Amino acid sequence: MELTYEQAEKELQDIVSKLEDENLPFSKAEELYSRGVELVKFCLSSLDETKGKITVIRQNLDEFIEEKFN
Amino acid sequence: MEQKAISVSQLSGYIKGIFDAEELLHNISVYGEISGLNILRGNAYFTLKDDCAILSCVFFGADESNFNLKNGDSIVATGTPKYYVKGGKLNFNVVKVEPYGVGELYRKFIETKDKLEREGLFDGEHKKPLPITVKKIGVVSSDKGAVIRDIINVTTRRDKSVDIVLFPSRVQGEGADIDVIRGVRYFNYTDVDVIIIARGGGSFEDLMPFNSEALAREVFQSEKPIVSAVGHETDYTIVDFVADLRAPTPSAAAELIVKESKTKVENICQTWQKIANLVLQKINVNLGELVNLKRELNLNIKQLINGFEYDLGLKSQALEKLNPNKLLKMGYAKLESENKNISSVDQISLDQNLHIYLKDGSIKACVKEKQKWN
Repeated sequence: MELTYEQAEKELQDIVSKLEDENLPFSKAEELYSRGVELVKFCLSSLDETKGKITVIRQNLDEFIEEKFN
Repeated sequence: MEQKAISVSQLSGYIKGIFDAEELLHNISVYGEISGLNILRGNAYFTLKDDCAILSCVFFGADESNFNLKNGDSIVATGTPKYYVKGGKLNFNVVKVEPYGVGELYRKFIETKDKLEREGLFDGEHKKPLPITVKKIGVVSSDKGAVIRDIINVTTRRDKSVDIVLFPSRVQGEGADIDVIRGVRYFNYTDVDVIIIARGGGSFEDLMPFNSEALAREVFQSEKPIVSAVGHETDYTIVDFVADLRAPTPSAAAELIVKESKTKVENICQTWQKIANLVLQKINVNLGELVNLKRELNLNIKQLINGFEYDLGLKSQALEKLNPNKLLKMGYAKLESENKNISSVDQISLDQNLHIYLKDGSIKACVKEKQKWN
């Protein structure tokens, strides 16, 4: 199943909490950190993609209004 | 030769006796034309005549309610002939008068009218409205005379596009009502928009076909609206009562139908214009709201995305702070023993093996000495 933004954000939050635990072994910490970085990237690109889609939809709406009512 | 004579009184008395005794002459009805009418102290004296004879008549106690006649009127007088001995004159003592010919017909007219009225044939709720647009008018009338010409003239003057179809019919005399019934029935099978039943002016007897009960029922049943225009404005026939609309004259019927049609179309156009304007106003209002909503939508989505970005930034910073390699790069080391984090000297004993992680690798070491700070 594909990851949603909300799931990614939740997992990222969990990772930050886990990394704050001082008893975490180094290898585990490194692994969690790497996963966290991946999740940040995923979230950023999700937001970028959403912004792009919204821009296109907005343009379409503007063109529609222009065409129909002016 | 001896002459036998009787007195005038004797003869007169004898004559009077004959008239009084003859029951056939009692309460008899006689028709003729009034002449020499003279009303004296509430008694009407007149002569009834026909082509060859005259009859002196007297009506006692005449007033407007029982005696509304004039010279020249044809009447039926009911009464008894009396011989007046003193005047040597035969007088017809009239007790009832009614117009000749019309009396019976009029009674029949009233009877039929009352009957149909009671049955509800004249009720307004059964009246069909005239059609909104009229393209074809069916006329039931005589093909001779001015009526059909008037209808054609008036209609074409008002609206040249209207077609007129004539169903030629007798409009007078026995069986004329059957002709008119056929006309109404015929037009109900055609595509005419409305039917006119028309006839010019005439006497009460002339208009009698239009008082026919059968015709009234046919008009009532007609699915096409019917306009009646029979006789002059002052003439009323039963067809006028049962028709969907009564026009005072045939020309007026045509005028009403075509005018009504035009007015209705104009009204519809005006109403449509109003509706269109209202809708346009509504659209403009909605459009304004829509533009506002669109602005808010854009603003909201922008804020939402900004919020997400801000949150993500915070989390990303938190993550970066906890980047294990970053601390190692700054020269710090991380100790572990048997996969456990070591952060206190209490966790360490002498000669214990440790894993030490540095920025570019790890080493294994053995504890030689330990010292705890207080």
